[in-house]
Amino acid sequence: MPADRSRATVGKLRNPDPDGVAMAAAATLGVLAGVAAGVGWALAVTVALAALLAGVLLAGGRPRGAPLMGGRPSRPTGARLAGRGVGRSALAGALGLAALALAGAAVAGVRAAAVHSGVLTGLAGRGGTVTVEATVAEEPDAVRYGGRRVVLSVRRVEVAGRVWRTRERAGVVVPRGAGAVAVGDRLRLSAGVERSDRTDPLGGRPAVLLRRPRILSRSASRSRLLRASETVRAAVRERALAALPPDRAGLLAGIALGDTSLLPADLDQAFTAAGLTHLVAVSGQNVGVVLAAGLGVAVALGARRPLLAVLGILLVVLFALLTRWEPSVLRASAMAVLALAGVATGRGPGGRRALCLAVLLLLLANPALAWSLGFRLSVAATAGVLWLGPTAGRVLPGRLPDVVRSATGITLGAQAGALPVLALAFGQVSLAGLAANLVALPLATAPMLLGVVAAASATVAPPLATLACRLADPFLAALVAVADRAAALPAASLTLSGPARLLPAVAVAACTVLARRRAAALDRAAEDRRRRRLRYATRSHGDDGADPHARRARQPGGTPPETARTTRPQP
Amino acid sequence: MPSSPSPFVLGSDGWRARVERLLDGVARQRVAIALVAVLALAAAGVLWLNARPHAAGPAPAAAAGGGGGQPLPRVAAGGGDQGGAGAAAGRGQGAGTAGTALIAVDVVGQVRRPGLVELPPGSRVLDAIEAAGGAVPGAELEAVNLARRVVDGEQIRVPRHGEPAAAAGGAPDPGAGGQGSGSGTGQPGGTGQPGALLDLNTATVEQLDTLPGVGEVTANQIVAYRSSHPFTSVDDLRQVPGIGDRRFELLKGLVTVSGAR
Repeated sequence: MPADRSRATVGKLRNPDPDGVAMAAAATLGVLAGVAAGVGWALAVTVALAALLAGVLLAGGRPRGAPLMGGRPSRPTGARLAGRGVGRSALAGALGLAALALAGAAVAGVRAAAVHSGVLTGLAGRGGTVTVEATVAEEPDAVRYGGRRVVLSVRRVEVAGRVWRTRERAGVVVPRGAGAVAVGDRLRLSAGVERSDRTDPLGGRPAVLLRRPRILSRSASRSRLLRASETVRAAVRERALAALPPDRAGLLAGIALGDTSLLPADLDQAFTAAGLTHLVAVSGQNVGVVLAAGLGVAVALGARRPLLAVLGILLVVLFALLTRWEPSVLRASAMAVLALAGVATGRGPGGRRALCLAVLLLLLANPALAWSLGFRLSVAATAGVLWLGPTAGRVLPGRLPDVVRSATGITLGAQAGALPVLALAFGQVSLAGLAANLVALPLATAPMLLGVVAAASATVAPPLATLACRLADPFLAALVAVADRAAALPAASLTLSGPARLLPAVAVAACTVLARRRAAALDRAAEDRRRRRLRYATRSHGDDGADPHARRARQPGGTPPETARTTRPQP
Repeated sequence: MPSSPSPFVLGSDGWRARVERLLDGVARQRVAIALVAVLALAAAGVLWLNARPHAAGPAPAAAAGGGGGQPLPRVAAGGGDQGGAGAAAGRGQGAGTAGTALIAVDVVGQVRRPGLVELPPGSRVLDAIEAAGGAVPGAELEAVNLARRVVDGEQIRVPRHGEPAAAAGGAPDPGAGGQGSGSGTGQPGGTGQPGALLDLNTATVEQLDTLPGVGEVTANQIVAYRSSHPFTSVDDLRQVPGIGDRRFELLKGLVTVSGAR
């Protein structure tokens, strides 16, 4: 039945990866439910999950390959819909989604229980002093008066003459006088314990704070890789300071490595007001730039596909280590690894699919990410780029070159994804951000790349690193100018409160609907033109063109949709 | 890319077909899903085993100090099902133990039976002297503050009439006599300081004011802190606002904590 087949193909175009979205959504909802349901349910959830898994594997007959990755198009499903096995297949699918949701719930439930029953959690607010042994778990944040906010992973707690082995996180502000603290450092300190009011149910932001710490002893990380990355970061800061004025040096370290320790407060504020904060955090764009440059060099040296994928994955992992695995870096790295794996196995990059799977896998590995604003923003912006970007670029008025259309579409899509999340979280919308980003994003690419060049050479060839910093200087100066201008605009940012915080989400939804209508009209017009040409062609060649697919494939301008999907650029 | 058709605009099949297609897509990946779910479960299991706090024996310092008999902090029960429920029990537990443990004081000088006496916590110097048989005639009781609360391990010296009172008293060694107080860390030194140690839980603002580096403001801070969190160890002094590392080092040999547990 030809009509049915063509309809199935068309339906696939509507949203090529509904199952990926459904799977990521199932895991996310599972995580939220696991936290909401509480600790006692973890066991019940586990039992239910085991039963479900058995059901999933049994239902639906023989497994027809499991494309976890890649954009391999599903077979047109018309035949299956019309005939055999719809019920069983749908059942297996539903069970699979339920299994993912339950896995999320089980992981989140266990995490919540661990936070809830922690030694320090129990001691918080009771007064008294504890002595802890801990490792610095995240890159320390600068706070006022030269102190550093540090997240510790606590291994051992001594209190009231007893020792407890544990595995929990605690925040502490190390005062300026205590010296530098690096990720992986092992500390022994005594302090008071109090509950944190800025925590989340899974302790991503620690549930307890160590108050007024007294550092008894400290030692550097045992991991040679971590120590090396710390050396590289310090060397980049040193090179940048040697080659650039202090504010641009801080900006370079922020843009290239997410290292904001040198960033002056006024510049930071200007970037925030201009909606450019994401530039001084490492994001998917950084990972993309690093990959493109690294793999470009590898291709020039003659590397072939499987080797390229391995190199790419190695590069991504090293970069994530160097930039301290911030949530946005985790998201971007996971996506990049999945996309590279897809390329290596010949399935194509499949950006949307990679995003869905990255969210799914990262949330199951660390459900606390669901409460990280950086992770939410990163996922929302990427989803905006992948789902809304192409339409946004397409409906731009006027005659524009394709490069400009796609670049603008990517920026607009990212903003459309991030704005609602930002507005809900902070109640602030940067109106200047849209324009500032359009200008700043292309400008930031060069410092991203040059900063990584500086990082690669800072310890082995300092003059090269200095040169890279100098080359980045004009771009950095331009970025500072853009941020200052945008921040100085009247009504650069708008403050929303109460239900008004939902306004950006509503506006984005409205714009999306309008853009889709416009795109649909453009498509119809294009289809009409194609039909007219086709009629002309068939008349002149005497081909009756019974099969619409054959006809389309033979058209010089009409790319088959499958090919089009695999050539979509990775953000 | 803009030349490719937009993914959203074409086609219009019913929601049933769409849902079925979605579930079909999921079903084709069920092996991978099962694998991921099993891995997630295994990770959760490992986390559960690792994250549950477990006691690893007494702290070395506290064991040496003879504090091994301390009741466990209430957190011990929190490892099970209802975690932080024990947080409130701390205060009551402190009061309960305080009633049973006696403190030892050495009373010397002009008393009928000089030597070690055992007193309930919170006793005054007068109680100590009476427990030592009372002062003999000719004792200079005005040189001794009879109202002061005594501290475990302290020596009270009752001078003869005309004898200078400044020679009185030897500070207890807080390391040995700390009654297992606190985490057992950072309690060295302090020996050889003249005069009795000041009990942080009972000292008045005026008494605290006499400590080096402590003015009225800090003394009030200490009193305010202990009204919400009674001191359990000298280390807790570090938690009082305004007392930094330097002042803490100065003070820790001069103060003690008794009767808090």
